[in-house]
Amino acid sequence: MSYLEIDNLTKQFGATTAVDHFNLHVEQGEMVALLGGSGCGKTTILRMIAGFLEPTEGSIRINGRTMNEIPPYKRNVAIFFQNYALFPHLTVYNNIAYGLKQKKMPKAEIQKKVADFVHLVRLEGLEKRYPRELSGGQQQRVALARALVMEPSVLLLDEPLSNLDAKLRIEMQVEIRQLQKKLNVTTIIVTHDQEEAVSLADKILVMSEGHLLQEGDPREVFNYPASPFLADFMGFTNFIYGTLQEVKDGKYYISARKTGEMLVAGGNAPADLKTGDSVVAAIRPGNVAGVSGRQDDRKENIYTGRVSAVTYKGNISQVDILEAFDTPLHMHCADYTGPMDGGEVTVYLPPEKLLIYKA
Amino acid sequence: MRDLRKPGWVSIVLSAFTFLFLLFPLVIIIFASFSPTQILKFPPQSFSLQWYENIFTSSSKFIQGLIYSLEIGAVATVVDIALGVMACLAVSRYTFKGRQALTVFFTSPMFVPSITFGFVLLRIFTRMHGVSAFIQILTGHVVIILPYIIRNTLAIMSGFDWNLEDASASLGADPVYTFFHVTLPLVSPGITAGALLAFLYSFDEAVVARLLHGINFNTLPVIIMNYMTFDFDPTVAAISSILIVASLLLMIVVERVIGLDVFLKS
Repeated sequence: MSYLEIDNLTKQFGATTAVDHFNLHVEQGEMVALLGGSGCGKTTILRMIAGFLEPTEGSIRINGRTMNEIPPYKRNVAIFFQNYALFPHLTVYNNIAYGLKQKKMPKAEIQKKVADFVHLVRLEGLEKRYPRELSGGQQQRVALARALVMEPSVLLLDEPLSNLDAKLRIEMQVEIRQLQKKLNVTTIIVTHDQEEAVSLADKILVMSEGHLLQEGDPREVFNYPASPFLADFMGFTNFIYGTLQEVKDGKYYISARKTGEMLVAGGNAPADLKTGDSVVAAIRPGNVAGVSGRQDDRKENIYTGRVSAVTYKGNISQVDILEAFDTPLHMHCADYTGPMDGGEVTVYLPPEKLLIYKA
Repeated sequence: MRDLRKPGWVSIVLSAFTFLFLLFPLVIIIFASFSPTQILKFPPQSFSLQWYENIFTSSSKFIQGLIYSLEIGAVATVVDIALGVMACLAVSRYTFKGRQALTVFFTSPMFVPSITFGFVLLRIFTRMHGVSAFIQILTGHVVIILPYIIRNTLAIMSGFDWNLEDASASLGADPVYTFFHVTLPLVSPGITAGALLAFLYSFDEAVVARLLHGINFNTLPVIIMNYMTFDFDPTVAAISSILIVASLLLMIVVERVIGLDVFLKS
């Protein structure tokens, strides 16, 4: 028996099904990420676990206790809102103490617990401030302390880092992860950001339109998406269509659509693939390598195209290449010095980085 | 080049005229209240408090009327705060069919002429027999001042982050605790502004109060109107001066406590 068990959870709003027979088992202390675009049902699931929405069907059990009929204020499930939802009329101290005061805990005990958590989230000296007088990162820590001080049986995080700038986001990722491990609190995080999901969670569930598409540990989900749709979501922006010609020594030989170029791929492939099947190969732009003409004993997967745009993105440059295949090819380089718009460029696609799907 | 942040002469002249138009009558009334004669002379010849004295000694029972007006205004406002806040919570927290229609319905008394409404109430109460004038006028005022509380409360609730209620619930607080510790403190400026406007409207209301008055139950505006039918001395000016000063003091208190800008938010 798992600590949190969600079985057949379904939610319908009128004729639309927001969540469709969703199952999830989470162990005590585990951190699970629900990953998906907006409208995929992840927030609906979160709100059902918190008790703000009633499931149309299915059950939610925490530590063996069925939660369906229990109102949110009796669940001991803490939720962290995307906009933090701090009480604007209360000081930092009173925000964190809110749940404890409401429980009528003795004053001395409240003071001690709040002080512990203020220390834990490094907010010393700010106890008397109001939320509007804090920076985004500080507000977030208050929200986290306010939720954790209740020692919740389950902690729900709704897009926790989306309102922070890039530098702070990485800092808070580390901080949330450390706190979660230290307090060993069972956590579900909802996010649309794949990087956030892979860096925080022990297990990732990718969702779309109320359905679970893939479940696994972060590396698996990140490196081996189960479908072209998931590959796209995980940042595989290059899709090369073609026909499977031959399978030899675990390598798949594909003739590319229109150009007829031979492509060798070996990342992974569906087991039931047959010669003559239409397939699509996917590769991350970061795995496309530029080749400077003269060198190279490599015979396979060398292609030449025309640069259509070079976009400088700070730490990388994105090079868009046309005419290598019938779909544009994107390449990410840390330090691109090759030809600019209209120039010819040669690239290498490592076979082991090319994933194959049925088209 | 002209500084665009400074007002031009057209707007200065217009504002000056507007202020003059609003404030000049008040100045005249205050002068008149100290007049030694029945007919106002300008500039005043001398100074007298006889009309202020007349407020207390007149057979028109101004003070009794003032007390009735304050009572009705206070009770109607308290009843409407309870009704109005509940109505506003319903239409702003939940989405349901007919929500918009209900909101319009709650504010509809604003669009019904008081004379029509008063007449209907009069017909009903005449048939019922034995309903005291206090209850009759109170009923009328509870209905006509409700929109002021609804409008101001809705305005502040429309910007309310309902996640705060969910956050409170997830911290273990039941709905009643949440209402008194989160929702109410945050929407109270809107309720206060609405309640003040509603109270002032009831205090000032003469049409419904005149139609439903009792033999010995007249509110202050009705007594003033009756008085002016027969006497045209500056007693009314003296009462008005007192009310002007009272309103001014009230506005100062409101500005100090919640800020006058709450009236501008709705």
